[in-house]
Amino acid sequence: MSSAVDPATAAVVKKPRKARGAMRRLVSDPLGALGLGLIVVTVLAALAAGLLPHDPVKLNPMVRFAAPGAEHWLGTDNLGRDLFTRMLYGARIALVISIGATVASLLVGLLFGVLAGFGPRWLDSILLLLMDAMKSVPTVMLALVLITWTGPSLWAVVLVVVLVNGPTYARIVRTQVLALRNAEFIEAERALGAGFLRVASLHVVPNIIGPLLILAAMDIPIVVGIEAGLSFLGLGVRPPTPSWGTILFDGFSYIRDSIWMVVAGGLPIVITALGFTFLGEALRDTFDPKLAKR
Amino acid sequence: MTVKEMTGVSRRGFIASSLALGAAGLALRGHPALAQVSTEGGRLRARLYADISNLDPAFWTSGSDALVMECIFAFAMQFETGTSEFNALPLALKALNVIDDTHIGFELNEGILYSGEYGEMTAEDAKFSWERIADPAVQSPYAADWAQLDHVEVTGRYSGTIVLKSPFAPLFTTTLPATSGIILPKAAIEAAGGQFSTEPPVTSGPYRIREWQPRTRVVLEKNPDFKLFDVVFDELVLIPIEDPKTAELGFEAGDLDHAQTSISSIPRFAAAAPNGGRFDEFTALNYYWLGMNEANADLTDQKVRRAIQHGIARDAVVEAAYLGAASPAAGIIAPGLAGHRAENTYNYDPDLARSLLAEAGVPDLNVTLSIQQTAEDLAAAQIIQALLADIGVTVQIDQYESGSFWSLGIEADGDQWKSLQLFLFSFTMQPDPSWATAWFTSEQVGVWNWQRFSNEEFDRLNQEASTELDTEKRGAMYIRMQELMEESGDFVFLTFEPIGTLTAAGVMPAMRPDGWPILSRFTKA
Amino acid sequence: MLSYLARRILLSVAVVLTVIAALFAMMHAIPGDAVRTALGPRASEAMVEAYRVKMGLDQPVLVQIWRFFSTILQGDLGSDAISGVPVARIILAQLPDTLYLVAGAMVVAVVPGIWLGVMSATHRGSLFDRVTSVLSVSVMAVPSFVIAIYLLLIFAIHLSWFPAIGAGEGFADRLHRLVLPSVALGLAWIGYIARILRASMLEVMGENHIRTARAFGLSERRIMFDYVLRIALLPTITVLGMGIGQMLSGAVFAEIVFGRPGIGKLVYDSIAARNYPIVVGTLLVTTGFFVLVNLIADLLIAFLDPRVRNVVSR
Repeated sequence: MSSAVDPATAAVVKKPRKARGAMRRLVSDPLGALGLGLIVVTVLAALAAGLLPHDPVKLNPMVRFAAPGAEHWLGTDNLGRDLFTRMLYGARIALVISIGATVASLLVGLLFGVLAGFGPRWLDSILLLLMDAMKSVPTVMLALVLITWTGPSLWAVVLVVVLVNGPTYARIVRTQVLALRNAEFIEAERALGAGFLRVASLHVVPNIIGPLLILAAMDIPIVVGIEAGLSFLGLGVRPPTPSWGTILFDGFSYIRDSIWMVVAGGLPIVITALGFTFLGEALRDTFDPKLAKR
Repeated sequence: MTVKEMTGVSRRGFIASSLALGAAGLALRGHPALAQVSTEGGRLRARLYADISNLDPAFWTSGSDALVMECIFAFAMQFETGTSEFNALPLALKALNVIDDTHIGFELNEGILYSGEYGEMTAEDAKFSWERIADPAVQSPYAADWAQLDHVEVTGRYSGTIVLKSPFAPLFTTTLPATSGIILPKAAIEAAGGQFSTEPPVTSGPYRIREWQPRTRVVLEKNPDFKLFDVVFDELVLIPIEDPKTAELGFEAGDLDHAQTSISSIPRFAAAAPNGGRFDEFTALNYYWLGMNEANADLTDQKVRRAIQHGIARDAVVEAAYLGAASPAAGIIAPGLAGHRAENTYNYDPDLARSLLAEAGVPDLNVTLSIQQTAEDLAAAQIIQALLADIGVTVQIDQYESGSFWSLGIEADGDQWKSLQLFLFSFTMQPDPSWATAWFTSEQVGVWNWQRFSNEEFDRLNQEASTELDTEKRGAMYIRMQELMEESGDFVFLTFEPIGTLTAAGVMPAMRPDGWPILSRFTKA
Repeated sequence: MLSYLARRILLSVAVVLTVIAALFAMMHAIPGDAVRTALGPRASEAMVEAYRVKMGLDQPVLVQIWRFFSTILQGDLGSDAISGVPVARIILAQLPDTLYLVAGAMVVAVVPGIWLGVMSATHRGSLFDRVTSVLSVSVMAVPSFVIAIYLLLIFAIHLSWFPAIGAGEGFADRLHRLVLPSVALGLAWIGYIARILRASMLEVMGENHIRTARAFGLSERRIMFDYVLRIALLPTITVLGMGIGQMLSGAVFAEIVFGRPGIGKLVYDSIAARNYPIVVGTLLVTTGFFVLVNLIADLLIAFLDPRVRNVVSR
């Protein structure tokens, strides 16, 4: 699973400029428009999945490994299930998991970032050490150990994502908090007895949420990759739920019998990843004055 | 490491070997596949389904170990290759003489040399080696292979008598022609401290180990002192590859000359073997079944279990899982062995299943089905899920990697056995029916008997059958035992896993009837 | 500078120790163990227990951790739970294949990445620049295991240009088999490197001393290579340092898909077998490797970049 890189992260974290007409600029950027378009396609696919005539889990071994045709647009898998239908249902899992897990990571990141930033020095050091430690273990190896412990489930996938992405967000929040911590108006508020939760929610969150969201959008392909990768290893969704990762696993197992499972599992991952990445790039260019200038 | 797999015949294992498991996910159920060959220079490159982990006859763990042991040690007896019936022939032994039911005379070939300074193989060595495995103090997991051994009497430099406490049918089928019959010199074992693992202190077989790189390769070279039969290939290179699908890709790419295929690929290769090679199909001894834990609260009612039995169309499950390569089995004892059962006592009957569920008062049953992460288990599980949905039973499929899976029903590993419900399982076998039934006795409850099936008649028959020397009577006992298993509702027998092997042009494989390769006997075509 | 060095090293050690302690504790909470696996089904409970005692598995987790750390400090990673072979030997046997793979991926990433980055920066705004930028973003987004499966399907199975599985023997054969997995792992990093390099080159090119150099009439080529690139390459070192971690992660998939031996496959198999000594040893080695690479990258940058150097020694 590829992943975000710190310099990119660092770039995003500049203060956002509340640009007027940002949306207009976003869509006028061809890449942004394309990204948005791909995401819309993915979302529509997820919504439309229920409208298709085939049942994603209905087995029909008599027609296994069918090639694409009028009846089965992308062919069928080893159990005769319609691949196009499964691919669209897979979009639901992918979107729900990636967005859900990303929101969870953001919340965890905010919580720990604020704790580290406002908390005592020792707490900050411990949290920093834990964050560094978390990032030092290759994602897949961390996930393997973790899921062997928890057992495979969607929640376990979310947990892995939170552990992988949460520390990144926490660091960003912490940096922001440290910058604000000694600002006069904060000190004044605290002197008046405001708790740090109040300070955090009034001042820190609004300041940081824009860049964090952009960053999170750019991380979504990573999350989609983690979900698919873990499902590929049998550590994610339960069969017969269609996930792009499980379709890919079937496709890899029967790669000599039919290539269409690999297509149905892999192509949407590529499309979704491109969509969110293009959009994230465009968002960054739009909201980040420094990079936007280029 | 160790992967385990259920492979055909691995000895001890059946499970054990399988158990061991290690391996991983994608490939878990591998098979002993072996081999590949490249003929140039008399070099045969074979695939191992797992790396070696222990080569001591008293402590080995996986089928891969057994395969390598068969190359480096002169077995007492060895199964004939290229036949459809199991036929054990003397190898290190020159002759066996059944004096009576409990006295078996034996004579060793003269001039079998050990490596190093250990000289010639003698009857004293046989006494030492066999009694060593039987000795409770050694704690060999294979002690049961010599369960009835009283002692070995040495009557000459090369001759002796095996004295049994009571008749013991498996002696000629799974003890002497397998690892527990291996003869090693006492001095070598003592010099190694009583046991060894991956570095044998002594060898006596057609090959000896030149090099072992963990998880990468085992290189064997021909032993010039070995005279019991002609060995063709100068060198065997054994490469551990767990996943049979990966091995197939390797064979097709010309990297492997002999490989066991996955079951679901059998139809494709049977139609056309790649690269001008040959494809052979065997009926393995491994049995594959769906088990139900009768101690689980949702399954304690026998009607519920029988309903599930009647709700599963076994032919549909087997067809879909193996893409038509296997056919349904009526039991756990493979064709060709005493006790093989041709018919079930019930048929697929969803209506009956529904009414049994209604009688039991569980119209909406939810159960879990625990499986390993293999393409075949996954396919079988999904068909079962669909079939049971039809009778109103909702199935949730839980996939496990091998380490977790193999401890699911084991009491000593925690409480998870209580929540175990349905599971797909496959055991490897030795060519003797006692190996199939041994795991389902009351004693095995919470060990390998995850169904927690417990039946007095079954236990008694299991005991009696191993000392019954009349094949027909013995067969009838094993058939009755399978009926008891089926009637309990705990078992849905699925299939005997077929084995397909690919062999490159120019190489002639030497295979046992169950598809187990005897690498030292491979020749050039 | 010296205190920076000391702090940085101390932090690295603390990170590795934390990781191992956490993993070790977690693995002991996982059901199933290697003992039963090692002994097989006929083992009596007494034998299983005796084996656990022998392996120290009967001790409380804290005691086991303590023993583990103290033996590691003596340079001993323990023994394989099943075969008894020293873990260090097993890991050393697997490490080279993974290192070749990561090195191959680096080559795949760095060579085109630098070229594309330089060309984009020097031709800013051109069609080439725009196409490169879109392509960079595109390859960055796709998970490496998806790429691996497609490469296998297209180049090994359909076109048969490359072998499908294994690590091979001998230099040429190994290299041949390294191509597809290296591309699968390295492809995304072409994009990262091209982007980072382009951005940092543009930044450096805007700095005063470059303008000064230009004013002195140095050749554009000379300015690019002697002044700009030298500085602009530094951030890519950081990126590659981070990239090592992702590549080790991707190596698990690449090794599974391409049937290669290696550390990724080793850890995957060992977790499945509950072979704790190997899992812990492997994670120690990979995490240590990752931390070490990043330490070196940071120190290298601190050493090479006058700007950072000044900040650091302050």
